[in-house]
Amino acid sequence: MALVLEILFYLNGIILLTGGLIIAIISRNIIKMIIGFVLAHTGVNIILVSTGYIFNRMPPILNKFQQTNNPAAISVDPVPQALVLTSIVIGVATTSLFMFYALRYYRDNGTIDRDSMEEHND
Amino acid sequence: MINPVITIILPLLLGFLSPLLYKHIKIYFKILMISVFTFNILELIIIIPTVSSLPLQIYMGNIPAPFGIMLTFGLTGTIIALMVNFIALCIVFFKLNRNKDCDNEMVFYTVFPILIAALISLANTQDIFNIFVFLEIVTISVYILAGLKKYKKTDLSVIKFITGTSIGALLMLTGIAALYALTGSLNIIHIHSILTGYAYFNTYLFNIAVFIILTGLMVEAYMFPFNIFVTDIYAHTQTINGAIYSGLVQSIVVFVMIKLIKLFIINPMFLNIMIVIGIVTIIFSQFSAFTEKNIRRMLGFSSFAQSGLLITIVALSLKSGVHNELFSLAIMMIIIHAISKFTMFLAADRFIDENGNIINKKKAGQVSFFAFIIATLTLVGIPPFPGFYIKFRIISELLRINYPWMAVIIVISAFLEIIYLLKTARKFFVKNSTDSNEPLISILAAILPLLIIFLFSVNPAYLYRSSSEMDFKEETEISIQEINETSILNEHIEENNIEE
Repeated sequence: MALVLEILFYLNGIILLTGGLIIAIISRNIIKMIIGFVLAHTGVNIILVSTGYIFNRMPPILNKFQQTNNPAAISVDPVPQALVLTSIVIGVATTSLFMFYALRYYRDNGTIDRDSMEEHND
Repeated sequence: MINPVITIILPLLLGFLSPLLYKHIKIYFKILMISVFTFNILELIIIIPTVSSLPLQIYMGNIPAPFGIMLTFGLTGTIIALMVNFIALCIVFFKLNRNKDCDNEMVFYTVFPILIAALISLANTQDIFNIFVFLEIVTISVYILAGLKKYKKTDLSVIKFITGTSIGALLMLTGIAALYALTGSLNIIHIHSILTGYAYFNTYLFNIAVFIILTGLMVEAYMFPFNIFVTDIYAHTQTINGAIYSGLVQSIVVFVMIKLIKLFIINPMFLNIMIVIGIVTIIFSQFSAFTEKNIRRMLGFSSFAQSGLLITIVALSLKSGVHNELFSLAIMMIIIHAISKFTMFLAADRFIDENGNIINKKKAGQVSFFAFIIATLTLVGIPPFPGFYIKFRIISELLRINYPWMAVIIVISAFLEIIYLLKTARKFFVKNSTDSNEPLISILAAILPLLIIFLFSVNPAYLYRSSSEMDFKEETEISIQEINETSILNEHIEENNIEE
């Protein structure tokens, strides 16, 4: 059961990562490209948080009902959860700047299609 | 001695204070920024004698490694941090009389110190996730700086750049997740001790994870084939941005890359892949630079070639298995390349327009021309400049460890480089030009890096001594001992043993 769950988590992350990257690379529209990157980033975050998962363990929050001498023995690994929070913040910052430049380009040239952008560039 | 973490905190604080203070005390704020970078330079010079004998370990929040984030100020990291602060100081001097360069000047003075703080941390942090975070801060700062002055093709070039670096960041994060799953640690030194301490550790899977991280870094270091995404950002943004990417960002990313290669790549297959990528980068970039018309893009290609060269010589040094000085020489090459390339970009700024073409020569100055020539000769490796000394020693070491073909590639690459750089410099030459149009502060920004070049030229023995003392692996061995002494992990193990 533990192994199946772990494989499912990793598989979910890998599907989102590869799917997102494929969307980002093949899309001709910048907004679709950004959506692809957001999906891929979510996939990586799922992979990252899955590395801390341990079957049948509790969330790493201490409370008075679960006093124990060795909390690390009953909880999942909290480090990847903290890392994912940082990663989400970075993802938001990158996406917002990506959107900003796409919007500014659209205001000036009236297009966000990659082919038309290359033609404008030439 | 003051804690060297202050060199990261002060620029960071300055960046976040800028939106509050800049509008009210414009001039004083700029003076404050110059003072902060000068203070950082003095502080780092003061700690050099201490760190050259024993690296300084700083545990953030007093949480011992490998659980907390650890910064190590060894000789290598300190000299790189010193270089970053020095270039930052020159950039601030250069910006002083260029108020119309940005559409929003306050944003520059907010983002730039944060970028510098991130670069200093990147050079000294020992936490792999911390490297990812600071690298993202650096790339986000570059996105913002690139768009500050809007030319016709700026937005498209930044969009391409974000596309490339986003792929790099995703790969890097995936690699870090894999590394954590394999080792259970994020501390580089702790991971290194796991790698060397356990005979049955799966080094093949481990090296795949490290290679994914390195591929992400290669995108950030603009290596082939990923540099197709970033060459436009050199061509269609301000020249000062080129100086920041080539002189600062690229140098530090290459430094982080060679640190990871040196400590983590054990499998010879991955070393061979790094060598092939490095050589293809050198050949592709030098020929592209040779045929390029846009001067900014040409200088960019020249920097990509230097990155390829550094990665190749470090990989060859490890592959040979013989003790050699190539790693230390690579670090010195990073410093010399950063200073000379940054000088070339600043000098070229007076001669080129927004499309990278030569502008009205009457406005140009002799000092900028002179600075460009000196930086070119240093970069290519013409005696008596320090580039010659380093390249000569690199070639000698390569011949000693039986890689004569690499020595030939370096010589051909330098030959191509001097042709296209001097051809460009010839276009800059102006007969009977006076420096009346060249502001004193710009001259100062061009002369400061030249002073460092002359210092190394006059006394190459100092250069040799520093390069022979710089060995990241030795610093790491000392750090491993210290971690073992302080780690609370060991205390737990000891307690469990007593209970048993």
